[in-house]
Amino acid sequence: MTTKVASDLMLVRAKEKNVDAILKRHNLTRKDLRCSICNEDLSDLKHLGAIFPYGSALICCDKFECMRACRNKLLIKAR
Amino acid sequence: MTTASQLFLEFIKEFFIEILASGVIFIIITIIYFARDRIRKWYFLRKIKPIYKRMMSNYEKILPGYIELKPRLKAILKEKDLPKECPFGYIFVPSGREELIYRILLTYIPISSSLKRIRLLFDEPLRKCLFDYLSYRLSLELGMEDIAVKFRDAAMRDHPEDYKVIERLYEDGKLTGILLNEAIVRLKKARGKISISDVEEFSTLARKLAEIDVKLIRIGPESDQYYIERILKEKQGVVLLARGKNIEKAIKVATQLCERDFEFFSQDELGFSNPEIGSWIFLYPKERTVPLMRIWLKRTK
Repeated sequence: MTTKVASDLMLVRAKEKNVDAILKRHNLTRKDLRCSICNEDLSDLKHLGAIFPYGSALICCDKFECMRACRNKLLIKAR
Repeated sequence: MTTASQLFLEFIKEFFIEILASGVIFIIITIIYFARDRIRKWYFLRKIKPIYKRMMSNYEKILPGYIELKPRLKAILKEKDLPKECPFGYIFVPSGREELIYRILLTYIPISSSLKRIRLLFDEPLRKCLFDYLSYRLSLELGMEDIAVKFRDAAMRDHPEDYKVIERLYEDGKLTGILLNEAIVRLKKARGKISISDVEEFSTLARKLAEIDVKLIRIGPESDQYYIERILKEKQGVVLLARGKNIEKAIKVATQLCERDFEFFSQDELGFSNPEIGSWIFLYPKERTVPLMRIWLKRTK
């Protein structure tokens, strides 16, 4: 994985090929696709919201509460 | 001229329009073929980009002077589109449910574009409330009230007192006029190394500032009389913020207000000297420092 960090937001069509490529890039597998907050299985990609790929990747589903909780986890990172 | 050339010329003359049309169509098809990925990306982003631009321009109005960078919004349609650099995040857009993207952006734009280092000076509840409030304001500005109330309700459920602190600071102008600059000054003094004591002290200041019943008035290019009349209409106290050459004007305004219905807050009431003399640090677009004075005045009647 590259270490240089940008502030870009990447918009991705939630298709298998795209998601698999991103997971591979960050040394993750489909099994890792669980919401870091509510632990929901996101491997069917229907409710995958966002992946924040640094440290141990933060994976969020599309529920408002989980997105907000993910943001709160990101708040301790000064990037 | 040979017979073959004559025939060719005649052919060209007879079918000139058809040949021209075929050429144009061929060029268009070639352009579309080589630009197909760009066209797909444009089509993918066509609804989202305008909303994103509107979000960023509104956010700049909400937090003037504190937008560190505007994150670029990029589309990934194929593996080869993956960036070399590690991005802030990948946001997944389900087909036909593009509206989901709005609340994701409203959640993550404030943290990806602003207050990256100085937010560490806020203790955890204040920090969370600060960003809930910024997302709330941004949603309201964009007319997305349904999302706005979600941020406000969630923050009020988790940390009601601290959310009110941030709301009060923002509405009185003290967040952008005092607190965030104070955070930059402290961060510079600490050379970026923030201790727990720094966080405790700064967060105490934030809560105390919210309690003091004053509204921030920025002294700028208008006349002394303009500010005096404006302040006399206020029901609460004021803190005059003047930078650079406006400091002298702020002193004149304060002196005249003290002859009417205002007086200085005491040092005991504030916990710091009044007037405050310090530096205002502009970080963007490039760093520069100018002298600063804040004068805290309370109403006598």
